[in-house]
Amino acid sequence: MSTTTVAHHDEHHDDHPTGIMRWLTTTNHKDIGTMYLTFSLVMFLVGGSMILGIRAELFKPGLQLMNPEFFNQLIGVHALIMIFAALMPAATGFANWMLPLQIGAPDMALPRLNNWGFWILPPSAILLTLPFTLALFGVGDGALATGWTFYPPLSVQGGIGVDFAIFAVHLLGISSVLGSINIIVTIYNMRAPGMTLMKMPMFAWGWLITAFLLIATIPVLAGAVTMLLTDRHFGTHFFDAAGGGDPIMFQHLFWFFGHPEVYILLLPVWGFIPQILQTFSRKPMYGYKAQVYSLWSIGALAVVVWAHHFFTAGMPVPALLYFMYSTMAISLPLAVLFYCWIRTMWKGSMSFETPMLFTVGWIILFGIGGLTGLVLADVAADAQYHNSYFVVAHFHYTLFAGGIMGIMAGVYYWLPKMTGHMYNEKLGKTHFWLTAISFNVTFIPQFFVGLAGMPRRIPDYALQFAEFNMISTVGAFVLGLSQLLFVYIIISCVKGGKKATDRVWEGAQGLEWTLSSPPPYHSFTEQPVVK
Amino acid sequence: MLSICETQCITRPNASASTESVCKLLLSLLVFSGLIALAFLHVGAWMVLPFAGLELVLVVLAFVVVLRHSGDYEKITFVQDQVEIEQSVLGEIKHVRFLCYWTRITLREGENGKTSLWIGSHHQEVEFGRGTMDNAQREQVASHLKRILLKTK
Ligand code: HEM
Ligand SMILES: [Cu+2]
Repeated sequence: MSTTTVAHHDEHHDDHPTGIMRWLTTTNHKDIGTMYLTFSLVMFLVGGSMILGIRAELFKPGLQLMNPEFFNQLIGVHALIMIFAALMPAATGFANWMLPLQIGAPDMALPRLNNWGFWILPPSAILLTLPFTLALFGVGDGALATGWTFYPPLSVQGGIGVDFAIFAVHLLGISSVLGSINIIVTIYNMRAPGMTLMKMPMFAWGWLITAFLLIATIPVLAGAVTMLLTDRHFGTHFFDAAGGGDPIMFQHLFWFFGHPEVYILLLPVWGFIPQILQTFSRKPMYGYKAQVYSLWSIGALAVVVWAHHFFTAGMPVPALLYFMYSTMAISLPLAVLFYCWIRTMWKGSMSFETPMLFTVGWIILFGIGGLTGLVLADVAADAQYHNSYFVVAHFHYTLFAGGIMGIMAGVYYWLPKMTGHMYNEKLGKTHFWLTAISFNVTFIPQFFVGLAGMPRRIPDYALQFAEFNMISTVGAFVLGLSQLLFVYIIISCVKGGKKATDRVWEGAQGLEWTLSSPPPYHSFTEQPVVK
Repeated sequence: MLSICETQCITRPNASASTESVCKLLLSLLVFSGLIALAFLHVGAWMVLPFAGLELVLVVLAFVVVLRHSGDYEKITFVQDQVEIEQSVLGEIKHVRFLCYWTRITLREGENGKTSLWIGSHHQEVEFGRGTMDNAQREQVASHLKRILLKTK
């Protein structure tokens, strides 16, 4: 007989870290989830301010505020930040917070890995934005000016901003992979007894497929940007036509990652949206199995449609047709999902608290994103739309409405559970209406200028586009300012407010709602009396 | 996972993945990522391959680390006037016994809001259910043990 983990009474009282060390070393899934969500919110504001600079420049034709180089840099960094530092971390934050609670696990499977996964993010955000600061001191010529897509030859010729971005993307990739591994292992191995895969909450399904896609595609991105790096500095010619390389190959590599990436951004949202719908419709979700199979088919189709992003680069006609039809095929499982979402609400006794408002708004606006995507998938039409503002409007309907507004629905849905307080419902609704209206004011005009021929990534434009751009800029500033209200609502909810009940929402279903709000946490600030 | 009855508490890690299902998963990841990397190798973009390989190694390692512990358990049994704590980690079993009369149950706030549950007597203490229970379960076990111990006195 041997002794086990034996400790003496007074050893472990004061040794747990406090202050910043607590956050640096934490392995608690809720702490890590909170850090992801906070980071995401901060970066959303950073990426948003950058693009307000762009919209200010585009308020009038002609160059007013910045030179074209800087304009391009802002666009590329805006996109990289929004995608990698705002939207993805938000989804990972929810995964950390809610997956263990939803599947009945005490924590994530690999808590320490989880901590590393998060702490890689802030340095990479700094790497992305550092070149701006360096340029102020005369070092280099600013951030990458290639857009977020890094296309060569521009990215091979570009300044140090490209190198910084390459390293940032590597770190972001590592972080995503660590997060995905943790999520896959957690979902596979940490489910409570009796919870088979087909009984899992939809959010777990959304994330499982997301993690699959990340694991499949991050190496492709990592390989692509590394080859770019060696082309830039070590004399290789992967993408250099003069040296026998092929710049189009970069586009294949990039979009082989890039298209699945959009589903990586959206699948977690498709996971919790039905949960919100069933809560506020006070009905079980419609078509659970159909939704799971649809998510899988979208995941599978995601990796075989990448070339629809560069139809105009020149491809054999059979390839064009293949990529067109396979892309259009994605709308079938998506239609199933839309049907299930709407059927879940059908004849339910619905109520429209803020999370539900965001969800219903989300269905409509994301629907517009999906339908305009279908238009872009048409090879013949895309020759006109490609690289125009129509594309910009389309992907903001999917990424801002479909992504960020979905995340906002999730924030309002779970905030009371996470903080133990209700947020201010009136302000929440105000935030929704401001966001939904100004979002449309910002992006509907962009469809029109796009159709009329205004190219994207351009700091100056023809006079005929002036009015619509002006409207769009006004919308963007209202949209940006409205998000300060969001920040205010969150902060005041964290600080205090009406006490939230455990179930929070009358119709809430799922394990996370059976725990107290907030889930048992600092329950023992006082030493419980022995015996 | 936690099961409690009048004379016994057992906790073990949730281990919902069978070795078979994990093998299937790893195999499908291997085929999927492998095919992608090979296809790109075929067109000259060989640098995808090392990244894909590295990543698969990480995935396998993660599962190995976790699955190795799926047989672990911790058990508290009351035998007459004694309480026995049995902990099995990676197949190695350790026992400790305390006299009920002297046994103390302590819940402490540990790092980062996680509580820890300690069972001890005199200068010896054993932690119970560190990674396998959440705070609510630790609370539940603590009050259950306290109730039983009270009866023995
Ligand atoms: C306040 C909300 C936002 C506004 C007003 C906004 C506006 C813009 C504008 C004006 C551009 C430049 C278009 C061009 O000239 O090509 C742009 C580019 C882009 N934005 Fe946003 N955006 C917002 C939020 C987001 C979000 C949330 C995401 C993604 C999660 C996102 C992703 C992108 C991407 C991928 C690009 C393309 C960049 C490139 O051309 O390389 N944006 N955005
Ligand atoms: Cu795509």
